[in-house]
Amino acid sequence: MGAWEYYLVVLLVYLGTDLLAAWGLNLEFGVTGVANLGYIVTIAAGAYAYVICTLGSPASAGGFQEYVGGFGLPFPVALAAGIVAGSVVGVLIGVTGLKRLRQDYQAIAMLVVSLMAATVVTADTPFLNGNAGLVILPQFAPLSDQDPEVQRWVYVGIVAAVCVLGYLVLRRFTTGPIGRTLRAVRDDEYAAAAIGKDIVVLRLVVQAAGGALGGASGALLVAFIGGWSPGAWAYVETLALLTAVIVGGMGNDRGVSVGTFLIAILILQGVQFLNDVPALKAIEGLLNRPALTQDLGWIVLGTLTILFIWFRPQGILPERRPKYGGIRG
Amino acid sequence: MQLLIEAIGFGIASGAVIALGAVGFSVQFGMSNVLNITYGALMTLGAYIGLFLIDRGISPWAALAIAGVVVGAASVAFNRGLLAPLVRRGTRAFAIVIVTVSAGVVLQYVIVVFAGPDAKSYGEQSGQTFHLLGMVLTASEVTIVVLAAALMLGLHLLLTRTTLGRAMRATASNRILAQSCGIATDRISDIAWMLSGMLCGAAGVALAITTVSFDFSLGAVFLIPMIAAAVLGGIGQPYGAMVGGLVVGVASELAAAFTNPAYREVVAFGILIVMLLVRPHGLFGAAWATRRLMA
Amino acid sequence: MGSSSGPILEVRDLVKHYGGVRAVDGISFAVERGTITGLIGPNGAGKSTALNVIAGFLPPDGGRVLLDGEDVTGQPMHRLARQGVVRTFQMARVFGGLTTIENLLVAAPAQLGETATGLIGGKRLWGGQESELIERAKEMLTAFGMRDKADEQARNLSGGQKRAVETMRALMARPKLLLLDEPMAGLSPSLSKQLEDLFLELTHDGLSMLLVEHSLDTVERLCTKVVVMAQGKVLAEGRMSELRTRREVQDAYVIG
Ligand SMILES: Nc1ncnc2c1ncn2[C@@H]1O[C@H](COP(=O)(O)OP(=O)(O)O)[C@@H](O)[C@H]1O
Ligand SMILES: [Mg+2]
Repeated sequence: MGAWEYYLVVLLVYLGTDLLAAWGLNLEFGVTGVANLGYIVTIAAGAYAYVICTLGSPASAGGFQEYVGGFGLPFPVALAAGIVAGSVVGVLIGVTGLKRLRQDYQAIAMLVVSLMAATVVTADTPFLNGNAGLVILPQFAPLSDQDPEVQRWVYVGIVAAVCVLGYLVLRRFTTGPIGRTLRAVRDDEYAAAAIGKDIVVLRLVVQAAGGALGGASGALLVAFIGGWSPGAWAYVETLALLTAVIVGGMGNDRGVSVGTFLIAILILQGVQFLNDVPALKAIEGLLNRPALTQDLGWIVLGTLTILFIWFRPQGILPERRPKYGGIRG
Repeated sequence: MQLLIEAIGFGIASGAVIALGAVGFSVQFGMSNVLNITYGALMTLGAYIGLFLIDRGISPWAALAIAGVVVGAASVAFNRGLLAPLVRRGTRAFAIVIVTVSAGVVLQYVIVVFAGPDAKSYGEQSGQTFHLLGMVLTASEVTIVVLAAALMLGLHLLLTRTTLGRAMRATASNRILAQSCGIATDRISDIAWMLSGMLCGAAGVALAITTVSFDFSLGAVFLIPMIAAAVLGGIGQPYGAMVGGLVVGVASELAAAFTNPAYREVVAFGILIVMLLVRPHGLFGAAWATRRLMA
Repeated sequence: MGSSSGPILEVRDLVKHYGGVRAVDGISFAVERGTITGLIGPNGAGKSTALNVIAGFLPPDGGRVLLDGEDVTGQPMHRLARQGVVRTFQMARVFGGLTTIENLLVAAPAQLGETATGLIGGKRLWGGQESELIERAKEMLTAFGMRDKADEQARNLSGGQKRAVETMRALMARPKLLLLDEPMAGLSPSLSKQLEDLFLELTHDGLSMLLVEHSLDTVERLCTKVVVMAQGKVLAEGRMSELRTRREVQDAYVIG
């Protein structure tokens, strides 16, 4: 497998997992109006659940990393566990919004959940190996096929299949009467309650569905990259996904997909790619600043979010509503 | 017992810094009703301005004052240039929060680009320590506790004894009514953002003085304790925020001393979550006041 | 559920404070089945607050609310709505991102597409019901003269149009008791007149209403009974024609 082909595989897996996550966040934020600043925790939950399900017991691998569980389960079961874990954590985060908090208080409560989860997982080493994180051994467990090249392309296929499935589930929530109701909750929760919508139940259902997509994203990602640690799910990672949703078009599934492509591939991967440009490496070396391009990446993302909220809050592809015909019909 | 008293001592020192920041946060939030997450990054900015000045031979206390003024101005500009226009256009609260989160991330990484990601220090502080009721405090910690108390007293006098203070309280409690009474609410709001920014910048320098070393995440780490203190005391209630700051500071240090030091921050997180869920109007606020904010 | 003989709504000694302000200070009245009861009074009398407490939007500080003889005090708004108590807001609230017709459709009760089975089964399960709802919504839009606005985003409507959308939406929810907070404000005189006729027609079909309204002429035409509030208290109660002559009512309006 050539370097370029390998890079393409990596890009496709990243794109697929980012799409799943961005769709889930769009369902929560773009469609239902819950600014879940802790969304990354559902992804982390999916990843950790996948890892402890695939790994054997801690002692069996020589005890070089500590964790709870260790069930030695096959790929499909571990993936399902990741999805369930994401869903459960999504609901737990949603509980902070159960009380009728103002939207901005809700966002902060969820941000705090994200920070708290990261702190606890980092500090409590016996739980999920703390700051060092967990490594999957043997690497790349999903398939036992011997040829790594075939394995990788099959994995791209698996990710694509989960994406298709995830999109179909997503559309069930964002279209039709339920999609309409969720958008009503987003636009005015009090008016929605006044016509009999149970906002708390609706939000929790959405948190479960959005969390499931996040869990799937995390599980598929960790199966591919082979390791997971607190550094992978700092709260700012949620911001990258939010940027994708806002740039693409809140509430528009296709728009968010475009946004994810732009943010995840063009900008974030672009930053990675710039890292390989010798001239930039030279500049970084000259300034003795190894992570400069990454820092610039965050500045670009944050600025982009603000610019879009200022100049084009509806995003590249604005939300479109079904038409029921003019005067006659 | 000794451990307990020492922890309380640490708690009062860090609580004083949290209180400084929390009072600023509370004044601004109470006035504008905008939940400003950029506040943490502004605090970091204060600490780095302090570093810049101290490296050039300016005394830490002068640096604290200058950083306060600069961050105060930045805070006004931030509101005037970005937040106030968005609020005027009717941008929803969750979008405003996302703007302030994004602006915080941008500011934080701009600081990294200019100052570098490695840990910084204001250098060794005078080694003198004070022993007080069994607590051990460094000279700069004592100075900061005294300074915080003085700033709070000043703010108290400003709010209660001056026409400006009365206008500020009137604007915070009912902007439209205040406007119809002939108060220039836009100017009052500028002053609130200025004051809040000054306390924020001062808190950033104070924090940097008392810690061994700091980096670009300084404000991000202290943001939640500050918000927790402000919410604990009731948003828009400076005295509540002062008490809240001390409670959060002492509780954090006690947790760090008696459980895992890494759980220092978890206490503030927990206080904030519980308060938001159970009493979002704070220990000293009235329930109906937040309900009006909600409806 | 409940008795069908007594009043549909009964309010007993209802109290609501805002800090020191006693916005609603122990009011009692009833709304009879199939009638419109007016709630009038000067600005700040506590009418909207009373409506908010009855509708479950605000928790009361005292007193009881009975629906069909059953205690519903403090029940949340959505649960009351499902029991047929639907309210509008003094400041019209529409779902800005939805179209006008969607604002109506979303209010229909018991939609299959919102249930778990509907989610799994998809359009072939709820499609039929949806078409019926669309027909009903179009009829209502026509009746309100807004048929051409069906596909317009609600956030782009004028203030009066938004208020009309809110009223239509409340009707789409198939209420048995409507709580209306100044539904005529900002409407054109001709639409107001049409709305009056519609309200009267709906009461003949058994709908009951509590109507907060500024125009005393409208109140006189629509309401069998009128409750006058001032400073959080019920000042008088009776037919509008009698009330007009009462001294304390005139005073309240002049001073208020
Ligand atoms: N959210 C609130 N917070 C504080 N006071 C309020 C609030 N809403 C209404 N009030 C006060 O309660 C009283 C009654 O108001 P309201 O019910 O709106 O009267 P009306 O609808 O009859 O004009 C007024 O004095 C008003 O100022
Ligand atoms: Mg009113």
